[in-house]
Amino acid sequence: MSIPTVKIQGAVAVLSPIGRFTAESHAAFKDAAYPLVENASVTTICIDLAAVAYMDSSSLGSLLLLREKANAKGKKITLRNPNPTLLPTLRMIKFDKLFETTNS
Amino acid sequence: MRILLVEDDAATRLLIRRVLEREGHEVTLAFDGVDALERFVQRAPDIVITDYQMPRMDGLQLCRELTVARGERFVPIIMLTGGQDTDLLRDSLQAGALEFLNKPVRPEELVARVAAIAAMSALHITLAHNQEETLGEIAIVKHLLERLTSPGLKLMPSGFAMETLQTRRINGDACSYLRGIGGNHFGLLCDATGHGLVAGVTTLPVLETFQTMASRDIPLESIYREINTKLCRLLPADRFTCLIMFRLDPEMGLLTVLNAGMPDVFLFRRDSQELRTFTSRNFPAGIMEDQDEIEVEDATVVPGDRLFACSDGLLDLFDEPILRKRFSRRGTRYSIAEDQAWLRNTLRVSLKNAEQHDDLTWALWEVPPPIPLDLDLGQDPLLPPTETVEGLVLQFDLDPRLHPVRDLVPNILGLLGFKGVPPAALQKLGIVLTEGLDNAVDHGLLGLLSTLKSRGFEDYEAHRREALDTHASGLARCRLALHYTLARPPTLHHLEVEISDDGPGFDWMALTSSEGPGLLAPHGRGILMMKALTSDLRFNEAGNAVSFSLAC
Repeated sequence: MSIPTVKIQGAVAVLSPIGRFTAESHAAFKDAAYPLVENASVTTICIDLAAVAYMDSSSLGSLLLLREKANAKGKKITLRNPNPTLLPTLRMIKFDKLFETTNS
Repeated sequence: MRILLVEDDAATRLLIRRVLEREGHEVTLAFDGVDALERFVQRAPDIVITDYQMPRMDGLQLCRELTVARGERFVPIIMLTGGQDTDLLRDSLQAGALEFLNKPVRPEELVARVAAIAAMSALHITLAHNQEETLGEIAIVKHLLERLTSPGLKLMPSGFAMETLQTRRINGDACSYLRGIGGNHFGLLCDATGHGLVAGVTTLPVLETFQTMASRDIPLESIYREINTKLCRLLPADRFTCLIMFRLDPEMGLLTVLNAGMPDVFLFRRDSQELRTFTSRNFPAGIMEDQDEIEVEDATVVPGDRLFACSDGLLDLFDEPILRKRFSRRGTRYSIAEDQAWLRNTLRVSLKNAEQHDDLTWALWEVPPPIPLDLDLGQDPLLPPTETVEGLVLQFDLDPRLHPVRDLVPNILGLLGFKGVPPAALQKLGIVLTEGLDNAVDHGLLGLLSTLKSRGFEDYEAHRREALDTHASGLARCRLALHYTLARPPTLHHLEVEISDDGPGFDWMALTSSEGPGLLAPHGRGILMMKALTSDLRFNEAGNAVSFSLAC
């Protein structure tokens, strides 16, 4: 996975990881996402999964860790545009219920 | 550092020794190669410095001998040479030397070279130590996992197969099988986040909890809740475990599946050749501590139906539709043993062709025929009447809306086991207590007709849930007395059990008479089973109280 791009629009920050999201991507993901949790003007962090082809269990764990950090600051994590190959996995572990999931 | 210095020239020997000792090293002297080998074994030095030309055994030969003698241990060798002879340098490197030092030796160069080598050697020692520690840790976890899983898997009846194929020495996947009180089959497949040691450690509390609770026939929902609570408390936020549990009651022909984050489970029907799937309906364990509803799915099964489950490592090899198609195409044309062999072989071939990224676990079970109920199964006649006293009496009343019978019974059995009731008696008590209390609740309080069971278990369960929702009041009551003889030492003689309910009673006579539905009918079977397992089974006239005894 290359370094995720970040766009901040008002209170919503959109984080877009690209490629395979695995245990090796955790550091890059963390470096991009954690400053957003600390950013006082951001209340919602939206993970745009449109360009993510694959996620392993460790990367799903990265999302849980981010969720815990964000919730502690009263912030929300949402998921957007999960790829059709990714969606069954997210549904299988009910992440679509744990995170607000939308398509745009 | 402990340094072995091999040099036949006394002056050089003295010079090097002084310089090294001044630097704080411990120096052992040897006068030639043969002498050096002996000292090497005695002193186990960290570094060897050797001259090239020596009597009896030269430096080159010594290098070769030392590479054998040091084994796995990293012991760098520094060769003392007279000049820039490239052939000599090449031969020395090939023989195992790591560094060179020109003669005559200059103290500052000696100190610098030895310091560099010593730093490298220290790093190697630390690495070797860490590796040893890691291997030790891995060995312990591996041992624990094997202890937890292999005994159960060895006891699987024919027609059942479960297996885990791992990517590393330790697995994030695990499977387990056991038979609980009352003879029901329990299976578990779990897949922890990540691979290797950490994932392996995560599966330990899952396996342990499953085995303790399933052996007591505790409902899958309660087992899941316990595992989930444990993992939420024990694990950091990014670790979780997906799992599938199944419970198969071959007598009732009932399969219960709880899928939490794993791929679809397939149930292949022998008669209709249809495939039913059990999709994940629950969060993996370790994510959400408070969950309102845990969902399990029930299915009625007949002997010959087949159940297949796997972890997602298998889906890296085959897409789910392909897997589904392959299973459908095979149907039940082949014996279960042939199907298991086919699956093993398919996996082996696929794994050879593709690099395995993820641990992989699968299970393939065939529903066994029910074991005919033997009416003499447990009729241990009570010993001739003896004077006994009640040594311990447990009494409880339960409101079925708040306390399901199946949650309560295992706890009572646990307590009685702790109080010395032998396992064989506990096993029977588990069956008859569940049956008796279920009767009191279902037929006594909820007024369900047992003939409803002929319409299938799912239908019956739906009626039951509806009746529970509208149930206004009334309790089921139970009194359990442990009878002891007062001989010396006093011994536990038998159990007396009374079960009653606040309902109007039912016509038990019709069910137990010879014209009754008999043992093979889905209804009424429970009472006959109670009669077979206990002594002195009596109903009161109203039909809302039953009592019986169990020998210990």
